[in-house]
Amino acid sequence: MPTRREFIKRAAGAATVGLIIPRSLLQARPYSAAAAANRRILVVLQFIGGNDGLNTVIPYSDDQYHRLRPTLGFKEGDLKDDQGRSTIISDRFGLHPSLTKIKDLYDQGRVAIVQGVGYPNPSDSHFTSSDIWHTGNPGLPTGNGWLGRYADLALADQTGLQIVAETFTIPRSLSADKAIAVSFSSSTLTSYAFQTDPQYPADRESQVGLFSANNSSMFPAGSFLDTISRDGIDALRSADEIAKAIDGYSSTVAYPSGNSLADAFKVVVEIVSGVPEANLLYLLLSDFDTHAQQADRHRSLLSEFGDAVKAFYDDLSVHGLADNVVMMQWSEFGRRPEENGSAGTDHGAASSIFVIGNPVKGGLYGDEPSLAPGDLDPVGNPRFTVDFRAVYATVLDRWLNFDSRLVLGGEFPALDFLA
Amino acid sequence: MADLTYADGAHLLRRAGFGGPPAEIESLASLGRQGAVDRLIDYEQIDTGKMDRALKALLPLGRQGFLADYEQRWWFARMITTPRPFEEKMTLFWHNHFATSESKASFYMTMLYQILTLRQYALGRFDDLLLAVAQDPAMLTWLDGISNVAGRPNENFARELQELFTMGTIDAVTGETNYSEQDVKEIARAFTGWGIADTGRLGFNPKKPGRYQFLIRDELHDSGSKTIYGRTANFSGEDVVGIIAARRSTARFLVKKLFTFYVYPLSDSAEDKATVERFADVYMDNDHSIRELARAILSSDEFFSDRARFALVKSPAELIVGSLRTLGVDYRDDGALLLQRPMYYASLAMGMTLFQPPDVSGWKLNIGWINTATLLARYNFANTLITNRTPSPPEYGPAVSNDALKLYTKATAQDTVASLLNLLGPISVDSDTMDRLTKYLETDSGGGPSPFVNDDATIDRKIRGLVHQIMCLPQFQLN
Repeated sequence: MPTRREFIKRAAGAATVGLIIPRSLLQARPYSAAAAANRRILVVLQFIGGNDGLNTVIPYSDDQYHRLRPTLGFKEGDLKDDQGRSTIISDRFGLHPSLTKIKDLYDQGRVAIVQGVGYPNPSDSHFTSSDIWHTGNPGLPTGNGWLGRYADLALADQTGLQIVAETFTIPRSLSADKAIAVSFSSSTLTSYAFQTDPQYPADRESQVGLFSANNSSMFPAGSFLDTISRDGIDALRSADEIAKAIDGYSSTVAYPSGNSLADAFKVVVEIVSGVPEANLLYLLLSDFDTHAQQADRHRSLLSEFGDAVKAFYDDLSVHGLADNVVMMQWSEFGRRPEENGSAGTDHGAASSIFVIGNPVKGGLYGDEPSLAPGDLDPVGNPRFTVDFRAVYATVLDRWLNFDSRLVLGGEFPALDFLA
Repeated sequence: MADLTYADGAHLLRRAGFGGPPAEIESLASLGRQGAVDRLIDYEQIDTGKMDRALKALLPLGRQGFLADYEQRWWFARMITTPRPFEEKMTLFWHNHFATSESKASFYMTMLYQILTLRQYALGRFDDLLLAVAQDPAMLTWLDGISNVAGRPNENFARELQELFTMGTIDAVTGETNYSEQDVKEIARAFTGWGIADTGRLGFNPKKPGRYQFLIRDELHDSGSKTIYGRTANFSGEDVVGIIAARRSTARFLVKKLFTFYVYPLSDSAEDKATVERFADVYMDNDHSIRELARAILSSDEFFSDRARFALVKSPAELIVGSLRTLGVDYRDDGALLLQRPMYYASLAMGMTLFQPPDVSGWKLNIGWINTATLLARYNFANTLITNRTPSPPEYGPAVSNDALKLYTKATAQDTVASLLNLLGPISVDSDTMDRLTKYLETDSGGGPSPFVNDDATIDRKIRGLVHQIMCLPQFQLN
């Protein structure tokens, strides 16, 4: 039973997991635990609320930055962790001091940082800007998500439909025409099972059969009943598989406690290590909307992120999967360079993102937008230098081996963080 | 007007409340359409003394030692036992509309006080509700009003006030842009200086003010002139609330949200836009009265149309509270089982933790409630509820007795299935589903045929299973 503390903790910086796995998984099939050597797993991590990229990848030598961030800014001397280890990564940039573990991965060449990522005419609304990123369409953010379109196109020739997942709400990135949701969260995973009356175990078989038949009825395509019945069948069928995967999982890696993102990453490893078809996963971390008293909250969120990613990659290594995973992080916008009067920052625009993994060519990509007064947009936000769809294109073309033009409806030159 | 069928009454009670047992539906239906709607909406005439006393005795909210998630259980207990279901439903609507989370409240009981405020103003003038929300300590904390000060405005509240709480970025009918970035900045200035005072008062007593109280810090208020929607004056926060509440865009936006919650989701078709306009007129013509707008919507032909029937997906609160109210669940005389925690954790697993909406835009309704994990949570809630046989289980709260189920068990399997489908909806299913449910009652545990007998053993073994199965039907997930 969660205590109140855990309850609140879960809401502040709550993390959840979703994934896409082929529907063939849900049919009877010989179970193979062997991960294919060329398996390519994509994990997408969304920071909800607008992450302050300027205080994540810090331009410590830029006078404009210090002019705009008189109290929230980090000076060169601040860029070290509790033990005095530097988080500086170049003569211009340093990571937030709580990102020591990301710095370690960076030093190993496994972290790409793309700067100035955004799109034209940026929206200041959380919801519009998120939709733009989810759909990959800055003009009119309607329709399915970019990952959902990929799933529909790339995985459609496998048996039947593909599976999309998330906890509580399906992220728009994964919304698709042919995809159905399978979802987990670390807090509800243990009850991911179809229960029947414990007093009459002999009755279970009739109950399961009846449930399947009732939820296999035909309903008008696209209706709520259609979606609910299909999700119901997938829930029943996936429950056993997932339970099997979780049961088969063990690890020597100690995940940090009280870290909801780490809990979610652990679920990702449980799933990918036990389910060979599960290659597209999605996680959320919330609470980045730091309009006021930003410093402590941002430190704690980034520290949660760094600790979780470290445990995740350690665990992937234990399971022989570290070469098979690319993790891409994004947020709907950065924050305004000029801090506000509340020791916080308002909604920004172009910002930096992380792409992490053994297959990644580490380093800095894209140009940091100028913070000079004449270079900011009329709202006071940085102008983008890298279209976010170029990041998607890189992941699609070079990691998922799928023609990005079919998903993005246009050509976006790939960046070099993947070979 | 005596023109309300049983199905109409059930529809009205599910939407304007949380459903209920047949006797309650019949009594409501006997009042006719307008009478039934009036009875639900003009709820001040219904006495809540019994519930208030029970809740006070049950929940030590006024004392120190306030336990984890007590506020969740307190609200669920209210929803389950209230004689004024529309009052709770409307409060729930506003909780989702002005979505504030205790995750950021400096003291979580401030959220309980916000719910009291939403309940108090739920059906008043929208201007009054909006002002009360703008001055609510939890909201002032949640959207950083407390740090919005002259010279260094914080835009958080000013933006969501327009985008989510009143009019949306674009007009629901004309599609025109409702406000500019400059309007956001200027409105933020109008609210500068609004803050909260800490009285140090602990505990929760619905009859007494909470620990945090609204105040305006004059020295932090920007009293310069502001240009808002093209008009220039020394606007205050109160002025802005009045200006926004009087905008037709606000009326249209509210109609659309109320329809999505109570009737059916509106499209961008000309017909639906005409519907929006018609009810926006009601808002404008009745001095922004939410009560009159709600009355017009709930008694409209649209509300009782075929299009509206089972056109929404039950929220977790509707599913949980509705099941308990409909099945006549045994709480024990002292009501103590209302407090049992696991029942409310079911809501969390279904994706709805009261007092903790996912973000300031609230929960994603309808199909947003549905995915494999939340569906399993629905199925398992049904199973746990219906297989709890005695009112004092070690772990779980409410139970359903054989006697309660006996009311709906008939002489034949077919009549029994029909009776329970009627109770739990009324749900209509195709003949194949009807046959399968009937056959389930005529099957023994080994799967072989076994004649249906209306006795305690069958009720315990099969009727419970049948109720679980009906609650697992896709149709049951709809409202």
